[in-house]
Amino acid sequence: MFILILFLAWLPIAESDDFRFKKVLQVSNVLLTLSIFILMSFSLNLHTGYTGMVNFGVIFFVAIGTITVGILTAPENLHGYDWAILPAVLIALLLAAAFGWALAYPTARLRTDYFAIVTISLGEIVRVLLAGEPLLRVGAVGNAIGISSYPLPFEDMWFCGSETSGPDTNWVSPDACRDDPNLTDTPAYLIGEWLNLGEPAPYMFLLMIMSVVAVILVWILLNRILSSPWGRILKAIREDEEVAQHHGHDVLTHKAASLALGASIAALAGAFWAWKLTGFEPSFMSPARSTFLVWAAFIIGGTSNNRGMVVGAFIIVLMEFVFNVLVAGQGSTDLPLHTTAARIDSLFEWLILSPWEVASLFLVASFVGFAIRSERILETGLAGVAIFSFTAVALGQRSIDESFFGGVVTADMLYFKLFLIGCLMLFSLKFNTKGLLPEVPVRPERPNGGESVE
Amino acid sequence: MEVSPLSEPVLKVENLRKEFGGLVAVKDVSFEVGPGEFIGLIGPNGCGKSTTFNCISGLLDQTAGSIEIFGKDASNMRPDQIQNLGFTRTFQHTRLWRQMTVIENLLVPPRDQFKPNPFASILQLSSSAEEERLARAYDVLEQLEVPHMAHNLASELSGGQSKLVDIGRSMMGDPKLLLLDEPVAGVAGPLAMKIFNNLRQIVDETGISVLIIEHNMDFILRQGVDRIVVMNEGEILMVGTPDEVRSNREVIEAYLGAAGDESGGEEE
Repeated sequence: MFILILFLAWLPIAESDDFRFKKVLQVSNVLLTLSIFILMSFSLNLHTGYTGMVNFGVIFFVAIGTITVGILTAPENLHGYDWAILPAVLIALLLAAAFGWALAYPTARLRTDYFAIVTISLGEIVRVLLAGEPLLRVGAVGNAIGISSYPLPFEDMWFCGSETSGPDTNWVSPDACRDDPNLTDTPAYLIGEWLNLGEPAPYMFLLMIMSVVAVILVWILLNRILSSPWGRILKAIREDEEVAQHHGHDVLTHKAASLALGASIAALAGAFWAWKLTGFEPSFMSPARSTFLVWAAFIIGGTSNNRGMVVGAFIIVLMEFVFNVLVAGQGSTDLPLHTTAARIDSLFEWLILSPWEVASLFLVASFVGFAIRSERILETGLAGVAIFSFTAVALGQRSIDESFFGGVVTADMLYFKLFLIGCLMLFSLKFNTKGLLPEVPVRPERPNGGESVE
Repeated sequence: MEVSPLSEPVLKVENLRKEFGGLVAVKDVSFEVGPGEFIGLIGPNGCGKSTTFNCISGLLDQTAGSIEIFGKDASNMRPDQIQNLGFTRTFQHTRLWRQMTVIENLLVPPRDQFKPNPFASILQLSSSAEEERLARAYDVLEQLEVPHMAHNLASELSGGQSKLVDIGRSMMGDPKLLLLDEPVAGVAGPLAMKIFNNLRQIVDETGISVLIIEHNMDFILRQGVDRIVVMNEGEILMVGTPDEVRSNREVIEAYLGAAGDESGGEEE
C-alpha cells in the first residue's frame, strides 16, 4: 500500500511553469478515479465475494447512477429536469437499489454462470440504449449524443465562495468566478494559495476530497455490515445456499438486499463518475474500460476482502495512468517516459516485422526447456513458436502497410495496457488464486461474560 | 403402518407420496413423531428414506399426502419457513459452509438474529445479543467436545468432526425437532457411539424430538432409540421398539439381510 502511494508521487508529468498545479491536478485525478474504482470494487465484492453472485454487470448499476444524476440535474432548457444535486443523488441510489432488488427475483433460480450472463447483458442493454435513445441527449448543445452540462456539486461554492454565480449575477458561471482575480475569499483560491499553486485550486481537488470521504464512509459501513449477523448469512449463502435456506434464512430476500445495497454503492460511484467526466457518452461504459477493470481489481486484490479491493483498484488505476502518460510520451520527445514508450514501440515493431526471428528464439527456449526437463519452459517455448510462425505466415507486407499508417509500426498503448492487465490476471489466477489479500476468516473469541457449561 | 402417538405429535406425515417422472420414490408413508422421542428410520438403499426427509424439510414438493409440523400444515412451506417452526435437518453428505470458521458456521442458524430491529442488528448497534450467541456457540462446541476446532475453517475438518459440527450447527437453530440424515455414515465406530450418546443426552436433557436415518441396522438396534420405523420400497414396513423390530427377525432378514447389515455403504 505504502509502495503504491510512493509510486503515485513518482508519477511523472511534463516540466512546465505551472508544474505544481498540474501535479495537484494529476494526483487529484488519480485519487478520484481510484475512489470510483474502489467503490465499484466494493460493490462487486459484496455481490460476488460475499454473496456469491457472479456479477459482470457492475457497470449496469454504475450507469444507473451516472445517467440518473445527469438527467435529473441537467438544466431544463437542455431537456434536463433541473433538480438539486442531493435529491438527484438520493433518487439515483434508490433507483439502483430498486433495480438490484428486482433483479433478484427473475434470477432467483439461476446458477452463478447464468446470473453472470444476465448481468453482463443488462450492462450492454443500457449502453446500447443510451447510444440510440434521443431522449437521453440531455444537456448537450446541438446534436451531440450523451449527457452533459449538468451542474457539479459545490462547484459554485468552491470557486465563488460566499457569492453565487448565474445569469443574473456578476459571474455567469463558476468558471467566471475562477477567472476573476478579485475573488480571493473562495475555498479554491485559499487552497490554491496554501498549496502555492499560483492560481485557484482545480475543482478536481474538491471532488477528490469528496470521493475519498465517500470511500471511507462506505468502507466503515460495509465493515460494520459484513461483520454483523447479516454478513455471516451472506457468506453462508455464498458457500451453500440450500443449506442456508434449511437453517432458516430466506435466501431470496437476503440476496435481493445484498444486490440492492451493492447497487447503491455502484450508483454512488456512478454519480462521482458523472461529475468527473462533466459530460459523458455511452462509450464510458464499454466493458473493457469498466467492468473488466473492476474484475481485474477484484481478482488481483483478493476476493472477499475490502482491503484487497483497495489494493487491487490502486494497481489497476495506476497502470491506467502510467499508460496514459506512455501514450502521451509516444508522441513527443519532451514528455516523460518517452524512452520507455520508444522501447515498447521498437519491441513491438520487432515482433511484427521479424516474426521468424522471434519464433526461432522461442524454439531455442523450448530446446532449453527440453534439455533441462522443465515442462513449463518447453510449453511456453512451443506456444511461442506456434504463435509467431502463424504470424509470419499470415501477416504479409500488405496487411502491415494497411494496418499501420505510413508503414510505421507503433504499439497502441490501450491494447498494450489491456494485454498487461490480462497477464496480471492470469498470473494472479495461476499463482495466487486468492489474490494479494485473501479473505480473513472470522475468529471471535469466547466472550468473557459467558461461563462454560460442562 | 399403525402408529401409537405418545401425545400431540410434533411431526405427522400422512400418506406421503413422491414421484419423479415415472419413478415412484415414496409410495405411501405415514408416521408420527411425538415430543421428546428419539426415533430411527431405517431401510435398505434406495427405499425412499432421504426422499421422505427432503419432502418433510421442504426441499422437494410431495406429489400427494400431507405433512404437519407442530400441528401446522407444512406441505407448501419453504425450507426456511419450516425451520422457523422449530425444525432443523442435516444432509446425508455433510454440507458445512466450508470457507467459514467452525464458530461462524455455528453462528448462522440462530433464529433471533434480526430481532427486534433488523437495521439495528445489521449495523451492530447492540453487542449483548451477539455475545450471548457466541457464548452459546462455544457451549455447544464444548458439549460436542470439539471446542479446540472453533477457529479452524470448516474445510479443514475431518469427516467425523464435520458430522459433529453439523449436529452442533443444527442445535444452534433451537430445533424442537431434529432430522439427522445418516449422522454416523463413514464415521469410525467409537466416534459414532459418541455421537449417538451425545444425541441421547441432548434428547434427555432438552426434550426435543430426534428422527434419525441410519441404514446400519445392527448399529441402531444397539443405540437405545425409542422407536424404529422400517421402510422398504417406498412404504413403511413396520413401526416398533427395537425389541419388536429385533423379534421380527424374518421380516428384517427378508428386506435388510443382504443390504442393510453391511456398514459403510452410502445410499444414493
